[in-house]
Amino acid sequence: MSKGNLLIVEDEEVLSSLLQDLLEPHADKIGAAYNGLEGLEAVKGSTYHAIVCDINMPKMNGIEFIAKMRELKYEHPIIFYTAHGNEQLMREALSYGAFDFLSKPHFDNLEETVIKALKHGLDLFQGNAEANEPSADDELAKMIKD
Amino acid sequence: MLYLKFNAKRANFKSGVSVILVFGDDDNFCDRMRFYYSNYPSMQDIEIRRLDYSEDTVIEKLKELRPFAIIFDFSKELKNINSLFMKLNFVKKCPDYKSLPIISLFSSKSDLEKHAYLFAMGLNYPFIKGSDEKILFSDIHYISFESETPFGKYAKAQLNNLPYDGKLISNIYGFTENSILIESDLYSETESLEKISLEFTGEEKTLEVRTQGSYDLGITGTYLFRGEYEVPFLGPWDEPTSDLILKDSYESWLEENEDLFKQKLGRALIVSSRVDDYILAGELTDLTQFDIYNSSSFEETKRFLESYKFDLIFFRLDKNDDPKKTENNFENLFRLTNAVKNISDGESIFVVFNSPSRTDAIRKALEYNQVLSVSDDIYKDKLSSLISVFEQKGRKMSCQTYCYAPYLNDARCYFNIEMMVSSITEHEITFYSESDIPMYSLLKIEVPSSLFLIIVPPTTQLEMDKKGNHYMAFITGGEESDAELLRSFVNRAIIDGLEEFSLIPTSPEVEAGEGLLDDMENEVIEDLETSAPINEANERKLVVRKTNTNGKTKL
Repeated sequence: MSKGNLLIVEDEEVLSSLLQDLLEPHADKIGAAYNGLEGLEAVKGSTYHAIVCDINMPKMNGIEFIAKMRELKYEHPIIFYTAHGNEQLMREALSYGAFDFLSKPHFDNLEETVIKALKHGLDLFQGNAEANEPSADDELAKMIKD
Repeated sequence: MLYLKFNAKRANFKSGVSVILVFGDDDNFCDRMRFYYSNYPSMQDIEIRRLDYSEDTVIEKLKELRPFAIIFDFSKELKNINSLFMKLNFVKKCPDYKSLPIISLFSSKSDLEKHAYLFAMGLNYPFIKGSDEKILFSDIHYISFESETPFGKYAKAQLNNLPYDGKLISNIYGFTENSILIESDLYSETESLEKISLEFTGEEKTLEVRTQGSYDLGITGTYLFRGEYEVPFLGPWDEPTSDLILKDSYESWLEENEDLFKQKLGRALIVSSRVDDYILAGELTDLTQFDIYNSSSFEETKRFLESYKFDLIFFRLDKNDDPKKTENNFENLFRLTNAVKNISDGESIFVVFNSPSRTDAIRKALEYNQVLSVSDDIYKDKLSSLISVFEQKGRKMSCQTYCYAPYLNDARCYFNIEMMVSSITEHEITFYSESDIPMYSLLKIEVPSSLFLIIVPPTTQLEMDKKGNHYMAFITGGEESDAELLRSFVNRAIIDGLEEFSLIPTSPEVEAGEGLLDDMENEVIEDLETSAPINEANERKLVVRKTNTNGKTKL
């Protein structure tokens, strides 16, 4: 069963390598880009099903990257990670359709979140995304129960 | 208390034409109206459009034509008018439609009385067919466009601030075991005593009621406040008087009218600027156990959150390529969730519609867990289904159990307003009052006959002093005989003077109306110089509504 292809957009090479190692078992292929511009080129050149992206990067930051992606009609699920203090940028990312946020340096639930994003990306790719989404009613019922 | 001044925007208004819609089948009436307006250069771009009435046509045409005023001709029966006014009441909460005057034509005073419940549902101006239509046409123009209008010239009696009573029309919203919920434009301090006139349990009573609480209904509501007032029950040792109510008769009245009540358990807010979502709120209020409110802006939503605890908040993100240029965006959603956290311990569930982001992302970015993301736009089935999930889950809801009474047509409620009349003509009255009455509020009066007063921006400069706010109101809702009575009342005031506002026998010379009104009556003064601003106003597609001293207007 296909796990999907993942793109990591991160300007710090050490962190990028670490993420690639951690996430390797969960993706068919992992690509790396070192700023938003490179990320865009990567998306244009290859098939990816989800993206893990830093918010603060040189040349093109995470917000500019997602804005450009959506402008070009790329609907990939994008997981952002960010350090404390970037809350306003996180809210800005919401307007463009963020899949989830992870916080540096702990990356809690990283693998679980990436697996979900890849699955959603594959569904989007195959046109099944809506059918596989939990209904708002179910989510509300769960929320009330919780 | 400071209220924001509301500017009525007419964004979709057709270039160069100001439409007034008339629903009914009286073509002759429309012809007379057209003819009247055609006499004045400033009114020649007003288009009177008559349409056959149906409940659906009204809303459809309102959205399509964005009229400056809407007239219903009740001289022929109009079906489902209650349901339509329920919808209009919600439509008029939408800022784009807030300033739309609703005018109604009745065949007689008894016809008007039969429909009197519509005043509490947003009807702004009543007119009895057969009385002077020129007054109606100029009043409609003035109310709709708030610009210079050629009024008839009438004899005016200057009065020495004569005490007078008016009754401000308010709306009975519901009942609890011990209290009445009333929507009105008057703020009542908790524990304060208010004098109100109530018509229910089959009789009219003037009661002194204690305020249990008063809540702000937001800047675009039909009414400013919803107050809860303790029912003054007759105690075991009280002498039966007219200002107390028998608990037994109150309870049995509630029981007998059970079919007219709807129990409300939850409270929801729809945050959206779309007029369809205002109509939807009305429909869901009717269908569900939720009391549903609307808000279009961040400021208004925040005010609601300060007044009420909501179980569900349906937040519709505005669609725009640049999210920063929208009102209802994630930044404002963040501010609202923060407000809820500070005000009500984060109990409200936000359902975010049109959301491109996933629920988990929103929860983390807003640091608020009670939020749910929906990628679709708001639609009726989705909202009713979410409400139904909430109802079925039996979560404790924030509304106290009470009987909401949307169809209680036989019950009436008025706040008694003390006035001091400074002048009166057969068309208008000026008075002082300590009450803060919004522009275009409707008051009922009984002397010299049963009539209505609609508060309007003064057509002349009104003197201000310490007697309170100085108001001008048009007198309306009378038949020709009322106009005659009013005329002779004014004559008597001019000739004999008035010591009090009451009907006393008229002197023979006043009866004859000698020398006073014959030359002046209905003499229309056309002032071409003053007509220019009307065109300017139309070109701007904007009616900047004037407000009263409390900064508030009902239109």
